[in-house]
Amino acid sequence: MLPTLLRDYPQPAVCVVEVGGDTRLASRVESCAPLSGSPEAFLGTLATPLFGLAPDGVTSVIARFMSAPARMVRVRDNFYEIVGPSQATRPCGVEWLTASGSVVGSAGGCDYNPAELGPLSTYRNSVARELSTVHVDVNALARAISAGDLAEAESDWLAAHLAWLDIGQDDGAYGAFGDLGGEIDGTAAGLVGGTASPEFTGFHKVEMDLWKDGDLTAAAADTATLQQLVATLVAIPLATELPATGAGLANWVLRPHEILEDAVRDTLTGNDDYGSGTGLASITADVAAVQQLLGLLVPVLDPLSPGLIARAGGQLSSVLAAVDQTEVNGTWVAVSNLAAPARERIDAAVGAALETLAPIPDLLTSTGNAAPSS
Amino acid sequence: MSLDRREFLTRAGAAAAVGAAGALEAPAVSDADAKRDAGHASARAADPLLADGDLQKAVVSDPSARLPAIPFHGRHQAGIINAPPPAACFAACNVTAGTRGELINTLQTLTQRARFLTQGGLPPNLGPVAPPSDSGTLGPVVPPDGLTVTVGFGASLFENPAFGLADKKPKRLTAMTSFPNDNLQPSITGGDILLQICAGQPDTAIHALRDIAKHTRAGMQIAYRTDGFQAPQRPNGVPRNHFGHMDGIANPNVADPYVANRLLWVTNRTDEPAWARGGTYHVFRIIRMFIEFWDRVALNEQQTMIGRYRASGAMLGTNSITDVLDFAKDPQGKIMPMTAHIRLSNPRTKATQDSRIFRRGYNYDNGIDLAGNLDMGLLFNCFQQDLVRQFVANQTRLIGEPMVDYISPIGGGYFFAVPGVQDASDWYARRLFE
Repeated sequence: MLPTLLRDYPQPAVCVVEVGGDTRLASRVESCAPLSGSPEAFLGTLATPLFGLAPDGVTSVIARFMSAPARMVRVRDNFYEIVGPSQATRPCGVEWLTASGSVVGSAGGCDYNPAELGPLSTYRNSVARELSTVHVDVNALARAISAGDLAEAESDWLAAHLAWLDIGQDDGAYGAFGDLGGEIDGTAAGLVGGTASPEFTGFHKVEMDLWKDGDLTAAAADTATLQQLVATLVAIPLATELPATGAGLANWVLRPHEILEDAVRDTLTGNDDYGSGTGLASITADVAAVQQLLGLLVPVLDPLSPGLIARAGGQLSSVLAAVDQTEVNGTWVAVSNLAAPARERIDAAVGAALETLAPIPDLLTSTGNAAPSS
Repeated sequence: MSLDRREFLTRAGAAAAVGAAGALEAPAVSDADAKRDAGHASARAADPLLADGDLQKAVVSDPSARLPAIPFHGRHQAGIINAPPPAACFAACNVTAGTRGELINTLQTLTQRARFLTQGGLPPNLGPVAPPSDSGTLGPVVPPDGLTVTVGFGASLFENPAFGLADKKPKRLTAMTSFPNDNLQPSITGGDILLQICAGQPDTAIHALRDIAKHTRAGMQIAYRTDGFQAPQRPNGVPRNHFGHMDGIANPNVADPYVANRLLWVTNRTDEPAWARGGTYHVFRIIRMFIEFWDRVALNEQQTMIGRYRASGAMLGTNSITDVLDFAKDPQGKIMPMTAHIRLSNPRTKATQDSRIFRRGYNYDNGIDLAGNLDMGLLFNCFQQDLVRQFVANQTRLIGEPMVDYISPIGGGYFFAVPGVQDASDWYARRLFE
């Protein structure tokens, strides 16, 4: 075996490295040429394959990469080799498979940087606080409606809606609050019957009741529904929705840019304006949510990409400045009513910020470490 | 001094010159393509319903050449299983004919125009007493250029009391209603009649739409329309959509009549009215893609959302575009996640084999939206024997898939592509009226 390896891989230092730590297999290694540097450096060397040994009965392994799809590799005579899909990609772990495809063991761990656990925990606490603010605000909205005060109700609706957006949880496919988030702040898109569908609930239904229809009776009923939805959400332990597991962290790391991506798709197109014309207020809340997340991620991101957060922060400030310029007598101008230059300035600032934020998921998932235990 | 228009007219000129027809060239098939097809043919599974047909090759259009004519008459309409040429126009129309007789006239006229345009030829010279019979945009002689005209009827046509066709409606045909991730806009959804016009060049397709509209103005009006294109294969494989991924790689092997009669065409064994035999359900969906958002997504995430490598089009875990990952050997989705688009849409099991759809999509590119983002996306087309068993089952499996964040179905409709026009005395859906 070794002569074949030396012939096919004429690097200056070649060694068969066993992934999995089963020392009984050490006797199968015939010999090793001298290795310079640490084994990890060897594994990470550009264009150098990973070699491994697997126990009897293992017919293939799945090699996992942080930033590439998994690969299945055949095992022959207990031996396998993995070549990464690109020079910059190294496997972070393997799983041993039997012929039937069942996993009988694994080595390494492809998971997120444990340094993210601290910020996640801080984030969870602030989400809990913000949710109870939403709860309080929605109750105030209900009181204003039952007092018959339309103007007060509209003002309370805006406060509650912005408090919700401050949390930064979108109601799309990645939303940590799942279907419940969609019921609280979803649009009527995709519902059979549109706004007439009984499944159209939450903030935008109440918005429509207040601004489009001026119907306080409907608003009262729909706000009662909204109160129930928020109460249900508040009762769910946040560790369930934002777990400190690989999957939970995967969801969480997508947030910083995704809040703003959803804002472009849904708010800056005017698609989620159900009469209040407060889309630009929503944008300011979205920006605040992004800034909060970036603040928490400074200790994790700054070492990986110095200056990224500072640059994003500057661009996000430009968004707020561009939005400020549109205010007329303290009232919000609806996105669809903006003059083109004002709209373009906002779109430009948001677009620039998004380009800066885009690499964050890749940055946060590119380093493999042991899986967190909670 | 302005030119007097009447003076100008009296000095109007001579008859149109007649030019020779342009040279016609068949698209080249490379050696590599032929080898791949031959190897693939021998690898077809014992169960033909599970096999994939040959890759649909894009018909690459040389600017100076036009494609040969596609036969108009036949048991089935053209524009369904023939390889999609690069240019397409889609126009959903509402019928303004007031009576059954007027509707028949409209359909007969539509047939005559489609018959002429798809076979090409010299437009009649109407002499000095009328405007020209042809727009002239394709030159003095209309080239066929691979034109196909595919006509589909929406549920609303059958339900219109003026025509008395309600009891002849194909049994699964309904108006297209919203799936949970849709955002259907009423102004670009539905329609009585869908015209799918495909050709080698955009001007050929537009010329045909223009001609058809001219001749059918009294009987139908365009409700909404959109143009589409297919890119050349880059560098090989199947043309790419706006996500940069190849689209339409795995299609059922409809070149095999056994497969086509079970998955594609309504036959005498299908529970449908007799007039519909030879037709097929045509699902047309306008799907906006949020390409700015997509372009900011890591490649790995894109690939795991779709289930294929972007560069090669190969399924995750395989080496070439025609390889099929054995899902039975990946029961927990460790190689290809259970939520990958292609895995959800086609789980490749015995239970789902008869829910496969035959896709023939085009890209569209239309301008910008209010947020300044490019309005681009997919004109999704699929054809199947049974709308509910196939398309609806597929789309239901896709509800909530990770890719939904990046797309938004905003329009289109369900149509029934009528049987083929058999000969010169036949016309679109003639047997429907008997």
